[in-house]
Amino acid sequence: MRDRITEALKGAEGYVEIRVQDKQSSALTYRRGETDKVAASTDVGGCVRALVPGGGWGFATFNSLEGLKERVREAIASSKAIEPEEEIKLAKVDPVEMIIRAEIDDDPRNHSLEEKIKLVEGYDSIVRSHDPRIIDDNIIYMDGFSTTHFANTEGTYFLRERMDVILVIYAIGKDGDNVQSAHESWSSRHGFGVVLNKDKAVGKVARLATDLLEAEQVKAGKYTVVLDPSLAGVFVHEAFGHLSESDHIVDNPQAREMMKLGRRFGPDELNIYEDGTVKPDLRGTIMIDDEGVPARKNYLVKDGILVGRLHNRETAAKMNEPLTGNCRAMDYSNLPIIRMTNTAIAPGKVSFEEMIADIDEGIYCVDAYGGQTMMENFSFSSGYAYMIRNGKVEEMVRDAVLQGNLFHTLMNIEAIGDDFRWAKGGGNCGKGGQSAPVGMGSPHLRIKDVIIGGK
Amino acid sequence: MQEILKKVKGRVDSAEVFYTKSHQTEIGFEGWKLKKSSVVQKEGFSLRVVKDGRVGFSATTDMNAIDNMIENAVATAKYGEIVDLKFPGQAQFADIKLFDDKLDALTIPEIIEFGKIFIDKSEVFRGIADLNFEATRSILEAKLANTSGFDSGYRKTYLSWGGSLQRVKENDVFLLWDGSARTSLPDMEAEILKMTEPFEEKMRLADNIIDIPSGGMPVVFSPRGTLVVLLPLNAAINGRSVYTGSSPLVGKEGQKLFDEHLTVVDDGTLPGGIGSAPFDDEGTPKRRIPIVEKGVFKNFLFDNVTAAKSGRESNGCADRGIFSAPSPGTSNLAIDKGQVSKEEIISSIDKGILVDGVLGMGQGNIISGTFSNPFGAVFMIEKGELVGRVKDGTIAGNIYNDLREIAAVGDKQETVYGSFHAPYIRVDSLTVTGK
Repeated sequence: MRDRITEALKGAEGYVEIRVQDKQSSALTYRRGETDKVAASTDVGGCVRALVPGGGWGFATFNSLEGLKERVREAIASSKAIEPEEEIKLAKVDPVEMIIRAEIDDDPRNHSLEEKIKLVEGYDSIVRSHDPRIIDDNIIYMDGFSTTHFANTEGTYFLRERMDVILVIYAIGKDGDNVQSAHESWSSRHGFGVVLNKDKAVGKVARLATDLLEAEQVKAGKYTVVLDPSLAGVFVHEAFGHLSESDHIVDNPQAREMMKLGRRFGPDELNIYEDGTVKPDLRGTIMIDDEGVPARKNYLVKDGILVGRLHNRETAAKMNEPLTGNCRAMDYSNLPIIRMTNTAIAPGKVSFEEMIADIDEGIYCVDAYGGQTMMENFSFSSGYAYMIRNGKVEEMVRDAVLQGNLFHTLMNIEAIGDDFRWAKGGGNCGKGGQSAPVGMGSPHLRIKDVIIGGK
Repeated sequence: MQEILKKVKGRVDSAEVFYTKSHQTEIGFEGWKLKKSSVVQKEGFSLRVVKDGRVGFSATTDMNAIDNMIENAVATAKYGEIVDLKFPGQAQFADIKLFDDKLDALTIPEIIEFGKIFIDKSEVFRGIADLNFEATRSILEAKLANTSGFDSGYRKTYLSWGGSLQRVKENDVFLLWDGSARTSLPDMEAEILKMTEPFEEKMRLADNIIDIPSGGMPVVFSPRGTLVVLLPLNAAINGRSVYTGSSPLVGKEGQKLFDEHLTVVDDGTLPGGIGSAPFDDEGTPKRRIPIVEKGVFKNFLFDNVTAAKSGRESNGCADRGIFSAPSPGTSNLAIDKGQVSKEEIISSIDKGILVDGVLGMGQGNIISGTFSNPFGAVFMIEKGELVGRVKDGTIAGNIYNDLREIAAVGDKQETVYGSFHAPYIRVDSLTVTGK
């Protein structure tokens, strides 16, 4: 493959890169005591991205490797069709060669479909036998193996393998007109083992769904909240990660002023970093990004002060800042854009018990449905929550969706836990119509004055 | 298509081949400047088979691996879903215009021109806000064949576009976005004016930030804002829930659950609608399906599998991509227009809010009907007039309680994100939480 790609690049005008991907995936879902969907699929394709001097970005994709030279010509023609008012410059990267193999300890492809069906069948029966009010469930097993080849006209070449195994459990409870759902997921880049021996945890998902049927909707108001590491991970992703993506600010002088390095965004104890090289591999571990820039650990906030942000080659050149290795594409049919990899709040010193001890009335928010940001304002939705009264975690409440503000919510962090952990589930982030696997990590966090909508 | 069916025929009881090919030409402006142009092509086959009452599925974009796809589909059928799945035969379809020669012939420079119009109409914001614009011309080809004798296809063109302005003023970020899609080339100057004219008013209102007190108050949803209540409804109408029971709407067909001013329709034959097609992704004719008629809940959405399991008929709602088996989905979901103008709705409110955009839509337990969303673009109404912007607040409610009474429905329908259509609606009291 390398020869075919480098051959097609020969004599190309300007900067050209070719990315070719081959992905084999299988998925099965099991619901209510029977197989729902079983599928095994292959996705093969590639793309050419070109930038001729004085032109814009040109991009062409294909499913067939026949006529690769012609696709290169198409991308160059697209690049020439654009005359930007300002020349696009790329930060310099030394050519690299990297071969990144998937580090597999127990290959899911060595396990039969029958074995996988038995596994999900077992989890399905655990969920449904919990309580007659569990009327529906969804046990999803997925595995995928992809190989990406990349080469550009500057001499960089990489081959990157990626293996994912994911298990997702949904339990849906119903009582009269009240319908509640609970979910949990596990993922691994290393092996089949991650989906095994989950009986107890699967039972907990069913229990959560029935507990939620009995929980009251949260009362609207402003609260001191404690976020568990899963939701705190979504919080840092939404609150700070997205605004660290330079494409949001590079062309806006006022935005660059607002996000000036050296500005304080949080308390002294707050440290936020991004790292596409975390081992063992997490969802966002890439080692090298999709324009051939090696990933690395990048601090975004150190001691509460903004110290860095995420770049592609174009924004790094324009803002004269170091490359970070954050340019990623969902697949061969998408242009690479600035994305997070694994984003984390570094651990602090406070134990969970100390954190809640002096809260008279607050909310302990656990797990995440997701989040969304509009830069200054953002949302993050908990899976379920509990009232905290007089320093104790009390009854469950549901539908706790939290409102955040970039300038207040981070400053309002009152305590950072000593119990850091990376999210275990299969997290994805959506941006510009592309979904990317990301890792998120944090310890427990306590934040004051958070607005929660409700009844 | 027929070749694949022929190859698999003797090995299974029935089979269905689905093929799609898309060709998208996209241009993008970033920071007021033209930046990129792409040609994205993708084609693939998917194969669904039934063997001994079980369904198998496989898909591929590798045209050299069709035999492998056949093997995978047959192999997965051994463990697949047990369902009495009958593929539909050939039928007569409504004649819907989906392919526009003008869109097909559109060149990259002509698409770039749309961005230049957007910039031209946004000049008042230069130096104040950052501007982005994207437009994509898509040519889609879909083909479907099955062992019941169905063999048909169609080609569809559509143009989609979106433009945004991001204004940062010290510590205040205000983001405006709008966009739409059409299956035939519209008057783009008029379409872009529809985006930029409201931007001016919203940007002006954004300068006056007003703190909002907590409590119940009248809420006006803009056409885009109505998604706050449409998404929970959309989650509850999947035909799957008829046999699982997992929707508050189960068993309530024919019951009046909402205000009589509320009519919601999913119309798969809507002229110009980007979700329109002669038949759905299983070959069942698309049609106009009343979801809520004058407040009465009417229909769930079915594909062949959910219909078979529920003892119903498919109503043409099968939706799929290359890599997924079909499941029920909407085509062009619309709230019918009413009789009151937008101006009358706003002037009727003494103190309330206009919700044009929120955060976290669809995230949460929406199947229960509950929504809880922090403000995105929300404006204050005082004494019948829009007076400023409110931020750092949330709205929450439940569609089954809060849509029992709707105070007013606007007299104009607008297209939202291409596939939704809605007027302004006014709800008399929703819980708003402020700073």
